[in-house]
Amino acid sequence: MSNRWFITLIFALIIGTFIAPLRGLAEVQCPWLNSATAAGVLGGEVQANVTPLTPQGDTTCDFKRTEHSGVSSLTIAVHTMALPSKDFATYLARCTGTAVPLKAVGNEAIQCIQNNGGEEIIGRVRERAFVIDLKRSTAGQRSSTASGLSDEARNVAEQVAGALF
Amino acid sequence: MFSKWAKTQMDWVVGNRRRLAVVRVTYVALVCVLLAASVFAFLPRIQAHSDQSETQQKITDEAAVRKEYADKVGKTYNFAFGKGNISTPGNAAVLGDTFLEPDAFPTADYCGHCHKEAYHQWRQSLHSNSFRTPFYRTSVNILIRTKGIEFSRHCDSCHNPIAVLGGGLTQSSIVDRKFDQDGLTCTTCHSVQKLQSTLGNGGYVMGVPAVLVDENGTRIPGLVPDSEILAHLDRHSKAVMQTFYRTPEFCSACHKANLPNPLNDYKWIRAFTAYDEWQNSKFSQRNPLTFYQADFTSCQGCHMKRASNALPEPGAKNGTFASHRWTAGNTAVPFYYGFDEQLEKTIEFLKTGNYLNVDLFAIRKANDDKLIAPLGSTAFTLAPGEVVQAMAVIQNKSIGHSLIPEVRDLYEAWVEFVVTDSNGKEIYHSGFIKPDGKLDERAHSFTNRPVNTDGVFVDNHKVWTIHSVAYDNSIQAGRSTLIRYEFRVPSDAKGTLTMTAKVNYRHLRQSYLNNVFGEDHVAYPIVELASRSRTLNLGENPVSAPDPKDNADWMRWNNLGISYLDQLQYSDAIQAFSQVVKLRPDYADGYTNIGLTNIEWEKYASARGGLEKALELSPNNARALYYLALVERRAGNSEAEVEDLKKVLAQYPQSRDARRELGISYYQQRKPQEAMEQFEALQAIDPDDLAAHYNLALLYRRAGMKEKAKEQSAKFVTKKVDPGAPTYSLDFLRKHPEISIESSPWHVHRDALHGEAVVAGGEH
Repeated sequence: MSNRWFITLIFALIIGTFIAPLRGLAEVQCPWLNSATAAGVLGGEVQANVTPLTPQGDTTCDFKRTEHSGVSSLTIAVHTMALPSKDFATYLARCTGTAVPLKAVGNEAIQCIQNNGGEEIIGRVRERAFVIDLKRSTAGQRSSTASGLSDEARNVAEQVAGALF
Repeated sequence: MFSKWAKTQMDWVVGNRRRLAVVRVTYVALVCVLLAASVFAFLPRIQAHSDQSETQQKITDEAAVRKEYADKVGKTYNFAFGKGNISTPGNAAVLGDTFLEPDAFPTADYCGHCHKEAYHQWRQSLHSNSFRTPFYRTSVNILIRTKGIEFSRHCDSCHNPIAVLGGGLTQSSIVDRKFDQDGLTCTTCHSVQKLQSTLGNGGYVMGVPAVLVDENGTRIPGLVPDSEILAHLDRHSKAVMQTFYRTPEFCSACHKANLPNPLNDYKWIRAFTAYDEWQNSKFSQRNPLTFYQADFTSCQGCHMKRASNALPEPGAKNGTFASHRWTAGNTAVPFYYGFDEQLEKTIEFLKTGNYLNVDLFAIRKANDDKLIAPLGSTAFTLAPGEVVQAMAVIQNKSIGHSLIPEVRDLYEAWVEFVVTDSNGKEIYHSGFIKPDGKLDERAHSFTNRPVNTDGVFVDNHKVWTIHSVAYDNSIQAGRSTLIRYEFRVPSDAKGTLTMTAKVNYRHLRQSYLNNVFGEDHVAYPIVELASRSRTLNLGENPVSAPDPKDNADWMRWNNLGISYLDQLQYSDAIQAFSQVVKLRPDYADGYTNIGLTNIEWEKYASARGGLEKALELSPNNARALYYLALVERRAGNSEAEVEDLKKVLAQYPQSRDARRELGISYYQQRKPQEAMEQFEALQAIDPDDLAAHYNLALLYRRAGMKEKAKEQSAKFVTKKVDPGAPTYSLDFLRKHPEISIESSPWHVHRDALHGEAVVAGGEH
């Protein structure tokens, strides 16, 4: 190995020493809702997992909070639809419970009422569909709106739709 | 003897004992009273001391919480515009100059617990939805995605102050954004402690929210139980109300905006200024130059009208409560959220305010130069086959700002002009909605067209890319505009024709709604603000009775004159104003208008006669004196010029025009101190006045005040119009011949099919 290559290697190692930890520390942010807001909804500190962004900028954010009473979670999945007029129906069809239209959330949205204690919202902003799944280990202090949807879930839906506009 | 003596002694002893007992009892009672008195005397002080300690403790606790929060947020906050600068490119400020934790703001739910009516109204209002609506998010998201979230502090200084002051608008924000859905919540407005100036862009100074003050008037941060508020309603009121909340200056903090250099990397550009428009209107009574006069009305006078409350409202007085709906022009937000009550009240507000007057004033024929006017008061004939030019005058009669105000690149107000035959068949139609929901591009709309450096319309409210405005057809308060429509009467037409002119309003433009929702959204409401129809007989048209809403003929001529003046048609304006004084020889303003037109026409000598006649009719008339001062200046009568302007200012001390001109007069008279005083006074009225910046830069430098001169000079340089900017406008107009006509003050809307045109030029 020539001296030149050796020096380059050393230089690269030094640079790498500085860059590698930064890359390792860099946390992928959820584009639709920050962790602090998710923590507010789930009642305390959360662990966030965000899938890599697709070329269209889609991603799924998964927030989890583990307590002695169980695990609470908030999942936000966003997908770009090729043909919204057709594709969105397939998202709506995922709701196996009762679909209740939600006013003023995105272009359109429904609350999917199921008996599993969770809250699910399926909606659309232009050509992007979003699915929000909120499960809390305890009902806690949740405040409900007239539709039965909690204020927190409604706020999350508005935040997500707002970020997508 | 002994027994008598003994009896006397016994009586004395018994009597003495009784007396002694009485004395003792009296003494004990006195001591008790004194003790009680001293305890009661000190009790309030003890209580007060305890109150003060409690207040001080709460202030200390809040300060500690705030410091911890601010330190935490500050560690990762993007101080892109300077260390410690938390709101630039916006102007929002907070007492303590550091981040304020969002939890310091009591929520609307908390306030709504007692203020039920206020909460109910606010929830449907624009203020509560200032951040979350898709109409706002769509454009601010573009800013965030293209330039970075830190730039959105410009918009959110007004749209989401808690996010700005809480340090939420930064990459990797650690702020729980639960407050977003409440936008401008009760305690944002009700915590503002003072105003910076009337610069706008969030020109307020927020205090730490408090809902109660202690007995010394010290604000107690944090929530308190209802019982405490109910026990001290006066202290609650002191905590949440300020006298300046009732002034237009309070509104100016946000209803005035500019695009500063840190936002656009270009230069300062005026965005909108409803406040200045109000200040220049007749409703402010601060401007002597308005065409008409009116009683003083503040922003709140129109947008926060008192009405009886349906729900419990402790803030109500004598059964009425100042509206917290702030009804104005926005129909889109209540439509989107399904706030039917707000939508209904907004439409009612827009339609019933008598804000506009539509006047189908005149017609002209292709082969005849004669103006047939005013319609209804003049007999004429009309025949099939004739080409007719109809002249509609739209008067901004009672709006305290322009039509349309603020972000007029997003709103849409336009004239729909329709001519139908006796069978209802359309002969001519301008200002229709096309099948795609967009407005006929040849319509006369009261809008503007901001353009970027590519000469392209800034369609998505990307205000940071605006470099020029291709045209702006809004009508300022109190002024009028003349719109000409040309059509041919069909050769086979019989009976009558009906002409109708309507002013329609839509919030928002279809192309912007398409940007927000895509093209598959429902149609948004279009509201007819005002309209007027006239029937024209084919044959003889006798004089007809006026409609109750019609202006008197002299005012119709006056409005025509104002329109001509704004379209730079000076000769026609003088003719129109001459008709005014013919009908109203007692009307001083009619003569002033003739003088004003001559001044605009640079015929200063000719202006004098009209102005002196006005002063003869109305001695000390401020408007006439102001214009006469300009004539005196041109004639070299410097002393008379100054005297006239002084008389104007004696009546209107907040007249920005009079301050500016008097400053110039003194400057020309080489009286620098007096000139400086006038320009400083002008700057206090309008901190963005270019003449003030320019002249103060010169005057300060000559006075050796180098720093102040430098500051004024820098402000002048950034605020003056970029001389290169109009090329972007020309570029845009060249690319859009279909609407380029709108940039010309004098233009005719015509159906291209009918061929023959009414000759342009003088109309009298």
